[in-house]
Amino acid sequence: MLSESTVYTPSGVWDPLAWVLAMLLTTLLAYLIYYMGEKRCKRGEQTQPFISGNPAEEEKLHVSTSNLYWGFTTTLEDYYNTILRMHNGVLTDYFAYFIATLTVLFIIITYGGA
Amino acid sequence: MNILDNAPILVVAIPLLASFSVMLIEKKSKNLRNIIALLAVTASMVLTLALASDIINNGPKAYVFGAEAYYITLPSGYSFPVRIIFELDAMSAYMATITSILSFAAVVYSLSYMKHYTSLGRYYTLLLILTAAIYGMEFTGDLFNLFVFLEITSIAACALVAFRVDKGTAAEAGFKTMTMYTISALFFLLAVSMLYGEHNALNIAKIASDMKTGYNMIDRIALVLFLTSLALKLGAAPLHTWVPDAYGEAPSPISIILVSNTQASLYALFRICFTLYGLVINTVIIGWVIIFLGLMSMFIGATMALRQRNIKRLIAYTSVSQVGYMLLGVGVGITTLKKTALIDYGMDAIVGGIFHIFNDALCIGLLFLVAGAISYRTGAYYFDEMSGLARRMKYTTTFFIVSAAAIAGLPPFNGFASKLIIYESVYRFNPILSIIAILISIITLANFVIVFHGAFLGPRLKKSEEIREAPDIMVLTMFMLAALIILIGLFPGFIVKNFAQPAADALINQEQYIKLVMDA
Repeated sequence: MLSESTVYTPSGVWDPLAWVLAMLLTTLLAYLIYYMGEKRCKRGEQTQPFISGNPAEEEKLHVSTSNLYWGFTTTLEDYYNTILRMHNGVLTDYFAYFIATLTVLFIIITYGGA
Repeated sequence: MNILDNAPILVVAIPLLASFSVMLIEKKSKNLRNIIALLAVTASMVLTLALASDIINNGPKAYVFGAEAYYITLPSGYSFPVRIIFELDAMSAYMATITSILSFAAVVYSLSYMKHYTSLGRYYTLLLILTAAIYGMEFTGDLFNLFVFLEITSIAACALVAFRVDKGTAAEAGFKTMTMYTISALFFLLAVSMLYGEHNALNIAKIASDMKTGYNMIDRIALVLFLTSLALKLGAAPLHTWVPDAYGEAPSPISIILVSNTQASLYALFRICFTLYGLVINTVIIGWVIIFLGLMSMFIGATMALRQRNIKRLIAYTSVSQVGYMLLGVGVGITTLKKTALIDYGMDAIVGGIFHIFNDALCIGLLFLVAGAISYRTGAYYFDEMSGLARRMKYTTTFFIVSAAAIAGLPPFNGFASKLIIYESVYRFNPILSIIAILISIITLANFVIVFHGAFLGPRLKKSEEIREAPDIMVLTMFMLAALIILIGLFPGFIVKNFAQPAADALINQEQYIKLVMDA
């Protein structure tokens, strides 16, 4: 069983069953710590989260994820401007990329002696 | 007659015959049409698995059409093969196994997902033709037949991408895909004709044998044409631009067959590099070309996915990025073919790349099915329009978590095992490449965090109060792929030892491939 789960990599070994066992032990340990915690705290007795102002309808609390990585994409704005232009949907441009790739590979492989 | 002896042709013929019969049977009964389609892919899958087991245990086999016996590759009096030959080794069997699983999943899922559509006879006809042609690409030992099967996959795939004629965008995507596939096929045919003119043969083993004694500029130019045309067909950057349109607009079960179609082109690329050309090429230059294509695919695919709001397009870009990992692993392996580094880490890099093909097929396949289940219930693909689906679609949510975690390379799923092998072996070759690969995995995870947070978490929307779990058949299909992901994740050693390693051994063993045909 162990050999079917074990993968030998160039620098070591990966055994998912051992990993799962370690995770189970860690979860058990976490549960024991939780179990020893404050027992008077019951589910539902805590204060509702307060969002400044009047309580909003549940639907209005929905946060769109469109801009979750705004910082990342803004930092790479120049890259994205270029790459988005590349994906313009124009078939003649797509064909040009093919010819460009063909030309580069032609030079590398024929003149490079591959 | 031993059925296993004729399995190579049966695997292709059964879906092909079924593809034409479903149109006729549909006139009598729609249920019978569905049953025939399902039986065809099931029979092909069973035969493929039996064939794979036979090849891995007993070695490669050739299947000759029209010969006195299927194994007589050279007709009497001839010193070179003239008949059409299927040549199957562990690599072909590995790829066919993946195709069989994906085609089975596509047909089962379609039974429920597509039932509200009309013209389903044509749909199943095209799906089965596509399946048969993908098998053909993986089995053929002949360059011209490789071109023919490549063309059949292209025509069937484009028609399926444009199947939903109610959507103008689907027709546009189908047209774009058709144009790009045609350009690819045109240059592929040009390469085949150049080699035919040069070597007076179309059989891969015969041309490979000839090249060993005389490798010239014509062969080099043909290699350029093969590399570029197949890079386009497999969606490697910068020739990937048709992929998000095709995958995004095709019905979800077709998207997963398109994954298999792409991987068959990847197989063809590897077959040409390792088996047709082998050691006659400058392996360092060709290896670096493939590594560079892989790096661009990984980076452009993952970063473009970050800007998508349509789940299917996001998955499509992720699929481009995953192709990059396979190219990276195998590219590193090619650079080491003539060096002792092949034993040190090159072989591991190839095994990692090949293992990742299987994992990518399952994970990307499952993600497309999840996207299909969501659109089936919500009618939307844009995750900004969704919220709180985890409360309504618990099984689908679980399948999404499994597939997203696996493709991002989180332990203990299957994607982690193959990526770990790639990271470690590539690190020995060039640490920077390995670091880039790890960073791309982090971006992949970030991509799916957006979808998970946007579509599955959050409050319930009034418009989605009627939403419920996907139909049972769709859930069952997704469960099948999720179970395979978890099983392979927990027992990666089984797949590496019995499938990926023999496939990698077969791929680099050019001599064995040539001998099977030329020494018969």
